[in-house]
Order: sequence, then C-alpha cells, then structure tokens
Amino acid sequence: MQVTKNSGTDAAATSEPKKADSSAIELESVTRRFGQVEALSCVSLCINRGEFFSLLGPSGCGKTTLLRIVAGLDLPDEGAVRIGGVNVHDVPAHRRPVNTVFQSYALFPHLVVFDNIAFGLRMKKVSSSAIAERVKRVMAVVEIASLADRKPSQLSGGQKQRVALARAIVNEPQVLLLDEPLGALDLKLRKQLQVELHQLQRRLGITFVYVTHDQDEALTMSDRIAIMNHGRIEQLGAPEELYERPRRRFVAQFLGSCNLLGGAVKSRDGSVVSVQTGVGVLKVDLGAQMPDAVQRGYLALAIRPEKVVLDPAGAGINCVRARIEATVYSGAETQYLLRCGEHPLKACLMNATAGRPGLRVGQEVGVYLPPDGLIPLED
Amino acid sequence: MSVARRAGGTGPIIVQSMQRERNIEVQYGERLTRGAHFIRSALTSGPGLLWMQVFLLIPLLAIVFISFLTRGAYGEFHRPLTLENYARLLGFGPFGFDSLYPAIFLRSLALGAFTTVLCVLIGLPLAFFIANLPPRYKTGGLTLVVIPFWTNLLIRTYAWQILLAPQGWLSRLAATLGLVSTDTPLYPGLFAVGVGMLCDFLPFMVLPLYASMEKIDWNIVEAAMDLGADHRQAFRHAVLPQVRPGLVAGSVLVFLPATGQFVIPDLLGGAKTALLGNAIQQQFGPSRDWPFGSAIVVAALALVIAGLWIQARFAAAKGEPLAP
Repeated sequence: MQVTKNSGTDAAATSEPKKADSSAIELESVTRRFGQVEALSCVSLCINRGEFFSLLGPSGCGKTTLLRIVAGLDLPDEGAVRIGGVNVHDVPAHRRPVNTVFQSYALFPHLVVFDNIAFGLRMKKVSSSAIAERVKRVMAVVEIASLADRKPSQLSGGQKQRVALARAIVNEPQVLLLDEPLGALDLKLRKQLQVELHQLQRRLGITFVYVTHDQDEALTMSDRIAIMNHGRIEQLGAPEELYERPRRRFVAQFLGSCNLLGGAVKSRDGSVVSVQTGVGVLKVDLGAQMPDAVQRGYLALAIRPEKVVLDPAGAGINCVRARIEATVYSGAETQYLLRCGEHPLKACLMNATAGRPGLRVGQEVGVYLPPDGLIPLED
Repeated sequence: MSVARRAGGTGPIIVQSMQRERNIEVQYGERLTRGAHFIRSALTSGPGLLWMQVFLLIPLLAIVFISFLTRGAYGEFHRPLTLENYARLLGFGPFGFDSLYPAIFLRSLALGAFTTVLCVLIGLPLAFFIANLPPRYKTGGLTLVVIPFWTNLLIRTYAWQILLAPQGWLSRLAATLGLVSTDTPLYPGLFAVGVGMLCDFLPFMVLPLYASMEKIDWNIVEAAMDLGADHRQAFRHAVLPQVRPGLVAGSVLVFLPATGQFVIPDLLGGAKTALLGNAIQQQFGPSRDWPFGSAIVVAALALVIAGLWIQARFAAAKGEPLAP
C-alpha cells in the first residue's frame, strides 16, 4: 500500500519537471469575462522555453488580458495557467516567477533609476552588495549605466523603456512579459529597440511573451506568433507560416495586405479546383488540404499584392485584364490599385530600376495571379 | 498692422511688413497694449492686494512691533524696545524660571500632533474608501464627510457634551460593553477632546487625501506587486509615495489650526488646562497685556513658518511638488 503510494508520487514528481522542460507557460481553456463581454474565450496555448512568443491582434482582442492573467494581475474565470509546469492559480502576482514590462513603463516616479531597477531585488531581501553588482551589470546590458541617479521624469521615452526593461530582467524571471513596450516610441527608435530586444532575448535565453498590435514588430522579432481576435486565437505559427499560409480571412487581412477573391467552385480535377471569382475563373492547386467549404461549393481565396504579376500583354490561365486606377509610390516599392470589372485588386512591385516602368494610370494591363500565390481560406 | 494683405481679389498673398507694432502683446490669443494690460491688472487684482496690505500686512507688522514693547499700569504701551516678553515666554520671568508658557506651547503642539495623527488614522482609510467607490457615489461620500463642517462649531461641541455625558446612553453603552469602567465618564476627558477635534478637522484631511488618491497610477502599484512586493510593501512603496502630497497638505491643514484651537479642548476637556488659544485670549482680554499677547502670537507664527519651511525643504529634496 505504502509502496504503491510512494511510486505514485514519484511518477507525478518525475512527470512534472518533464513538462517543465519543454514549456514555459501553458494555458488550458482559459476564459475571462468582464460583465457580458468575453475578453478571453477558452484559450489554450503552450509557450516553449526560451522562445520569443508574440501575441498579435487589434486592440480589445484580449492579448493584454491574457498577459495580465499570466502575471497574476488578473484571474481567469475558468481554465488553468501553468508556469514552468506548476499550476499558479493560487500563487499571487508577487510570488510568480515572471516579470512584466508595462506599456506605460510604470516606473516609480519617486525613485531614481538605480532604485527603480533594484526594487525587485530589495523586495527579495538580496544583500545590498549583490544588488549593486547585479543592477550595474543589467544597466550596462541595456546601456543606461550613466543614468543611475536620474529620476524617471528626467528621462526620454527610449530611456524609460530601457529602465523598465532593466527593472524586469534584473530579477532573472523564468518568463518576461512585455505589454506593447515600444508602443509609445517613434518609428526609428522602435526599429532600433526591436533589434536590441531580439538580441537581448537570444543572449539571456529568457522566454519572452510579447504583446503587440504592430504586425511588423511581431513578424521581425518572434519565433512564433499567436494572432488573436475577439478573445480567441485565430492562428498560431511561425511568422512566415502565418504570412504565407493564413488559414482564415481575419489572419490574411490583419497580417500584411491582401486581395480577397471568392466564388463558386466550378470544377474539380484531383486537387486542382477552378473557382468562379469576381475577376474571372481562377485555378488553384489545393494539394492535400481541402477546406470544408469546397464541399459546399464555395471557396475563398487570398493573394498578397506582391505575388500579383503585371504583364501588359499577358493572357492565359489565371490571367485577367484590369485597368490601372491609381499608383502609390512609396520609395522602395510602388502600389498599383487596379480594377478588374467591378472588382478592385492591389498589386505591389519593387522599384528595382530607377525610373518608373511603363505602367500608367488608365492603362489596361494583363494581371497574372499565379496558382501558388493563391491561398485557400477556411472561411 | 497687418502683416499680410491680398493685392486685388485673387492674387498671391503679399507680405507687406514684418515689423511688429510695439507695445502690443498677445496673451492667450488676446491682443492688448501694455498700458491697457496694466490698468486691467490694477483694477482686478488691486483691491485684493490693497485689502491684504491694510488688513493683514500692516496689523501683522504692528503686532510684531508691539511684542517688543512693555505694558504700562493701565495696559498702555511703553518703550524702550525689549526682549522681555520673549524671555517670559521661554520661562525666564521676573521670579526665576516658570514653566507655564513653555508648557502651554508644548501642550498646544501636542494637541495639534494628537489631532493630526487621529485624522490620518481615520482619514486615510476613509479617503481611500471614497476614492474607490463607483463614480456616482463619490460625491455623496464626500458630502457626508463635509456635512458636520456645515454645523456651527459650538453647537457641534455642545452636542458632543450631551452625547458623551456621564449619564448619556453612549457612556452607559461603553460601560456595559466594558470599554470603560462604570465610574469613568467619556466626557470630560481626552476621549471627548479627540472626538470633538476629529469631528472638526477630519474634512481638512480627507479632502486633500481624496484628491491625491483619485490620481493614483495603479499601474505603478501593479508594477510593485509584479516585482515581488506583497500588499504591505506595495502600499508602502507604491501607494504611499503617490498619496504623500495629499498627506502633507492635509497634515498642514489640520495641524496648524488644531494647535491654535481652544474651544473644543475647553468644552470637552473640562477647561482645566491652558492652551495657546486661551493664553492669547487671556492676554488681549482680561490681562490687557497686549505686548505679551503679541509675543505669543509672533512666537506661534514663527513656529508655523519654521514648520512649513522644513516641510517645503523636505518636499523639495524629495523632488515633489510643494504642498500649499
């Protein structure tokens, strides 16, 4: 009796760390309601150890709520949260092995930079010599060594951001939660800090959970992204997977820009399907995947503007005629707003050579929509 | 005058003159010549300034001057200028050391401190509670705090005398509950003084505290918790520093008048002890010793100014806005 009991607890003890090895954070059917509104609807998610994980979505999609639940600043109505394999339902915020970089930085206004960064260590009663050493080291890492005696009110936005980051990572958390940390900075600084944050994450090996509504930020920095909308995860995957193979309309439109075409399925030949869209009949090879919608005789397709090929004389399969309605020049590339019958189409061409190609507003062109650029959507 | 004028109907705008007319200033979008500006300021601010000069500054200077004179046999003033009054205040009277006036000062300061501490202990949770009420109840909560303030001080104090009277139901209730022994009345005594002072000064503490609590940035409190502070530490390191301007302002607003208050301690404390207020009244009234009364006033004023100065220096060193 006693022996079996022991072996039972042993098994539990060994299985727990195994889980902890692979995943830093696990969410299981987490639901959070605010009154009538469901901010999170049954979200399940597994974030790997050492990963740069982004939660991307429009404002109000629940991404910040999710982050706050992990931090312990909010509690789920249903579901379980595990950090490092441990269920943290009963663990208050101040005892969780995570730290947060707040959107508004939330630096202590009455403390100088050094004391701001030392706060977490002081709460843990670390000896003052160890605090001095660790704070100095972290300040060097985020390049604010010269600001130790400044008050937050004497710092620029970028400097505040670095202090907020230093204040969190000095505690060496298992997971660092970042809530739109670069949202308040200007574009150039944001780009620079994106690179720095990414390198920092690689160097420290800490799991980063990064909340943002900026798709460029998510695409350039993340190992994996979860795209959220209305409290649900729409799709989860590596950046190129999400961009090249969005499964749903929302993801296709939210990430980058895209042309949506859809229509009745006219014929099927093995995995190749012909669809009667607003711009004409398009052929697309669905390969192994066959959305349910095909069974119902309807298929939605998306194509990225840069996959669209403009060919003044083009004709043939997946080639339609369109009129150029406007061009938008933006330095590296030019966007062409086309109209094909009633249906608008966007095309995007890199300006590989100086001067403009002979495509003018009002001109008729052939538009080739290559079958491998057409993405079948599930909805 | 105009820097730009259209030549003809549709032609280009021609800048004619970039010279700015002298004596014209633009303030908050309004154009005014300096003279008009001066006249307007004199008309609006002048009466107030004049009032302050005539009825505050000049009498105050007179009081300071009188405090260095001596009293004649019929209460008239005598020269030469002397520090005698101040020596007497410090206890060095004509008959050797006398602790009467130093004791009055200390007692008054103690009363002020006692009232301030009471108000902080009661006012801090109360202001916190009101600041966290749903918005539509906040005004109501604040009104309830201020209502006692609308009643006349004397009426309020007499009411407490009756309520706390030895045979009153509050006294009997306290005795029944074993809070006090049967033969100890709630009034007169320190408890009654505390109740009366609290009733009088609580709004001065709650209102500034409420104002600073309304503005608390809860992100900072959450950041403290996130960094490992428990509730107590988060309060100390994240809430209290944000509430401090209100706490300082409230303490100044309570401490200063409470130090000079003597009606409540007299009526509820049993009129057994002298305080600054009745000492001043005594000198200007029955004793007809204006020079000595003035010296008490000046000394009390000096204490107040010193206190405010220390507090301002303290606040400046901490880099926080100065309390009013």
